[in-house]
Amino acid sequence: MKIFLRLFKAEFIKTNKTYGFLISVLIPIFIAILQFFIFYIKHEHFAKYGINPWKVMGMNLFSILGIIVMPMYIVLITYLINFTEHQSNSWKYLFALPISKIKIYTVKISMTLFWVLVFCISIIIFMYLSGFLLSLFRPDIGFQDYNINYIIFLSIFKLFLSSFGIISIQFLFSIYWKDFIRPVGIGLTLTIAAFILSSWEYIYVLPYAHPYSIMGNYNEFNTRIFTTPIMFSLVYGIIFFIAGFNLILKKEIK
Amino acid sequence: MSEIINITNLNFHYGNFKVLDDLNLSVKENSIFGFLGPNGAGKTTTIKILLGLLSTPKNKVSLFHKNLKTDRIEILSKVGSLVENPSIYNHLTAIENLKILTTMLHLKSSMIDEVLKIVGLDYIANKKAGKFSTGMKQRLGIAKALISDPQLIILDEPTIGLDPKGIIEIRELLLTLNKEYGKTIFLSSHNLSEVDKICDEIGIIDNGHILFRGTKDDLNSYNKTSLIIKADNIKEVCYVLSNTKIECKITEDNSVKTPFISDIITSFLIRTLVENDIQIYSVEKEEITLEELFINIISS
Repeated sequence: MKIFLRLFKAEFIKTNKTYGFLISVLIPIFIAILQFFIFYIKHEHFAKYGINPWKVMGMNLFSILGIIVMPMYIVLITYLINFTEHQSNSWKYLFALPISKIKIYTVKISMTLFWVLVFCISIIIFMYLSGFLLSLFRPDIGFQDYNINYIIFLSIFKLFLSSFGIISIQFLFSIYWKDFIRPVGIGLTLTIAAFILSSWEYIYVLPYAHPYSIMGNYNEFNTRIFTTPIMFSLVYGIIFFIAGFNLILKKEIK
Repeated sequence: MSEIINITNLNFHYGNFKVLDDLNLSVKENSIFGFLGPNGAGKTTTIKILLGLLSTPKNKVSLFHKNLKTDRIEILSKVGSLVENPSIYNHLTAIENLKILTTMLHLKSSMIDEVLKIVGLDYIANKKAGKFSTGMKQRLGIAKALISDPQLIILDEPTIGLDPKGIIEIRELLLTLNKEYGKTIFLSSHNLSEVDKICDEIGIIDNGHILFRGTKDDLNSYNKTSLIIKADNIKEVCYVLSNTKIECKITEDNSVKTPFISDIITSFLIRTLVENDIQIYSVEKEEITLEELFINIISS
């Protein structure tokens, strides 16, 4: 465990000054600002019909996160973490250190999970900040009158679990290919494919559709944690983690 | 001195292309071993094999009397390396680049200042590595190789891309590391004079095959350096040299080429030419090229 923490700290030094940190925080800030202005401008609509604004905000947020933002964020963050090694020509140096390849690989994928977690926490923080500011500037909407904390925290946890499959797959792509086009291009294509096929009854077999699956039918929140898509996400996560490790194990520095 | 590296009858292929052909190599402890060869000869492949970056059969490669295949981690804990271009994170400072290693390998933070001082980068330790010159990056690469205080340092063309001043600095640094810190250095290069200046032992590889293995003195027996004499009357120079039974020939640029035998003989030649009223413009030693050395070795 001590070795893992040491390697994790070293990995953090490498990644915290890249764009990884910026996109993990800036994307949630950008979404929160958009949400703020939508509610601010359309405040009369919410005040008139007495709708729970947290629920509407949560629905909007998790829909956009699930459809496009979360898969694309994962595509970018996995690329950035491995690009640091590709760009500096460091794989050969890392593999010539007295550290086993499984430890190097596990720490790198743990660092990806860490940044995804930072992203999820940032989403929650800035969403609440946006709601809080709206309760001050537009109290007629009623953010101060409602509370769905349990649903929000549950959904963000499910969003995190639903990302495991995409993380492992994209991680494998970005280790295998040095360039930007292939891992990011394939990730984007599969994200779009998942959106197009979203009404297909077996859509849960496609990992890029898993983040959207945290929403239930008819755009209601589903409070079950281990739904079929999340189970599939965890299984894909494990399978592609093993596949990625095998790739690293056989990777020869030519 | 015991042998720190041992490669026995090693063959290596990239697909159908044979890169190393029955390679045998050994390096003694506390020595500077020069691994010489033209580009594409198999130097970098050999180094990658020594670092476990390429897979090889069992019992073919051993370092510190341990099998690389089975004791890879233990062996690598005693080895520092710089392969091809240095692996440097450009978005981090020199200190941060080294901090990653001290954290990963659980080393004292004081090692960072120590190695930066050794490689002469302590004055720009907080500058981003992306803004470093090629020479500075090369030195930071060497600092990374030194950070774990390894017994064996493996360097692949460490002076490539450096200006003459940088080459001299690296050369002096390697000599210091060997003489003062007792490090064994395995150095690959395609520059004969560079290897000749600092290495105790030399191995020459071409087409994946070892052509020569021995000390610097052994190599000098093949190293036929010439003297190039420029004078007012080169025909007369040749006539005088022929009379003293010294072989000579007139080159295309109107100078006389004669084998360099020793400094005393050179002095005698100059005196003889002057006594024969020949005006000498210059006498220069012409270093043999690697290709010429190969021809000498093969032909002998």
